[in-house]
Amino acid sequence: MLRHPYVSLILLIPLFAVLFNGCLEIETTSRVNSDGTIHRTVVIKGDSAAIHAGDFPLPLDATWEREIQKSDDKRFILTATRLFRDADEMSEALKGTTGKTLGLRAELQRQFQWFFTKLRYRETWLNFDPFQAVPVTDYLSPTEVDFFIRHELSKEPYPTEGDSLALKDASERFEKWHAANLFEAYYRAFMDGVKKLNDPRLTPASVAAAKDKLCEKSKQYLEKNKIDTLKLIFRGVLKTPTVQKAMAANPEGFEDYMARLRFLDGIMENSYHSNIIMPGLIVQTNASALDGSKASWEDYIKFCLLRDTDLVVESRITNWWAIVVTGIIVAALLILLVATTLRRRRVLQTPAS
Amino acid sequence: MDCERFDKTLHLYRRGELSDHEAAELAEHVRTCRRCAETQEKLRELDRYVESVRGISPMLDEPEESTARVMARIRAAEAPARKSPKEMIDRLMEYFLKPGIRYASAAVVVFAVASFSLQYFTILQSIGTLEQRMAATPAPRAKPTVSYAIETEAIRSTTDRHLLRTLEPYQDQVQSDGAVIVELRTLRFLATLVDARASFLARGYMDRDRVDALIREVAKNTRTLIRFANGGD
Repeated sequence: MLRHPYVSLILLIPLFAVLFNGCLEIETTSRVNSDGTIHRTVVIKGDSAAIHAGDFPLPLDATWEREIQKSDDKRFILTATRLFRDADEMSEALKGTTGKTLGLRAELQRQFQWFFTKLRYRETWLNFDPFQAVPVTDYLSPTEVDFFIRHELSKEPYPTEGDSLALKDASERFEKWHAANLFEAYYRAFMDGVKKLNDPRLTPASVAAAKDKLCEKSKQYLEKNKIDTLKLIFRGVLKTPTVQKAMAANPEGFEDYMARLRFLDGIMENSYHSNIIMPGLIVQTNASALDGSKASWEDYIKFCLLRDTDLVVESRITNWWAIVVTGIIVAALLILLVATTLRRRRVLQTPAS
Repeated sequence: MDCERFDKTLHLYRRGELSDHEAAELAEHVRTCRRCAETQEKLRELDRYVESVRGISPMLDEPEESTARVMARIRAAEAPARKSPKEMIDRLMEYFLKPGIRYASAAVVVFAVASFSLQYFTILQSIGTLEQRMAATPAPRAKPTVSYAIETEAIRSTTDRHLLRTLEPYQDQVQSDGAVIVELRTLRFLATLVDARASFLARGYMDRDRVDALIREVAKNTRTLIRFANGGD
């Protein structure tokens, strides 16, 4: 059974993110209360610099209560907590900043069903892929994405061996799509530079004509995140020293590209673990682990590259008061019905005087 | 004497139980006897009255309800200002004698029990399905680990604070016997350090020679680790 389809994404991790932020272990817990309030806790474990710098991939502003402790393994643990009035307030606070932090949307549905109250909580981690130039549907069908995310998120075994093999194939196509996306963004930045340079030795038409070749040669380096190598490839394929000038002509374009890449890699470098604690009995979830009223997910952040990813839990709260009230009414009605039946029978059996 | 005889036959004549001969004799007698003619007329009047009330049924449509209503009115008429609990229960039970109330009550009981059962079994079914899925989910596999007695001092001796900071969590996995548990992910991380040169230099916090020396050191260990991880000697 194949697992972790995008494991090779780990290879995309650039080192500068590791070296400057350190790898963070992020655990989020949303405790949904029966009154609709949500108590959210974010625990971030990392080295001293990363924790004290406060540059986290999750939105944590001054409204959060924070506490920093040193862990046994000489790392630091930041615990941030905040109580949200409702899911809307939480969504607003955690919507994130594009290109800087992850964002999420929370939704809590309550349905009163007399004996039980149905609670459905959905935490949607928003797509954070900063490179959206190539639609994922060019490489993976929506059905495939649905199927694989559903199985991988809940760690549900695949029904057949064929599905496992299909997953492997889909993983490869995913990597191709990711590389194509990286290339497209780089190519566009370069093309903008070419246009700004306006040099007859390097025209947009000549660059466009060499696009396929550039893409083909760049692919393996993009997959390994060797962005610096791309310059050499562009120079080699286009066979003109003007390439360097074109890149220099669009510094903001390449800076933006690198910033997006840094953000992407910074997100992918960390490990993520999410918990949702529900009131009552959990009756449905797409979590991979369940411990009492706590549902947990791991390694879900990679799916947010493809699309918004839902962590869903449904629970039932028992309305004991409703059960007691109904029980009393039913018992009273039954007693009255039986008693009147017996009395009527007794009257009919009594001989008339 | 004749009148006495015809007095009985007058009643039979009404009901059509006389033969033709007896009927003719009676008719002849009534024509001549004034008393019997009057009796016959009274009997005819009685028949007409009976016929007029025949359409009225002596049976009540809803006897139980009517009884309850009548009894309630009697009790109301006799009731003192404050009713005792027994009387109140009696009244309630009389109320429940009404068929409509009885059927409605039974429906309420059935509906309450059925809806509770339905909700409860739906929940049980959902939990069952969820437990089934969780049971089918393979238990989280232990992280692939490889144990090596490597020269951890080589890594420890790297003096660069940035690199030490990065490697710190992994160094803590040294066991009492000096072996190191290294996750495959750690191996990958160490492997990527080999390619770190450009990033080190790009950030400009170390000179080229220092970076190269560090990378060589780490690469040496990384290659060793990877060789072990791949089943090498």
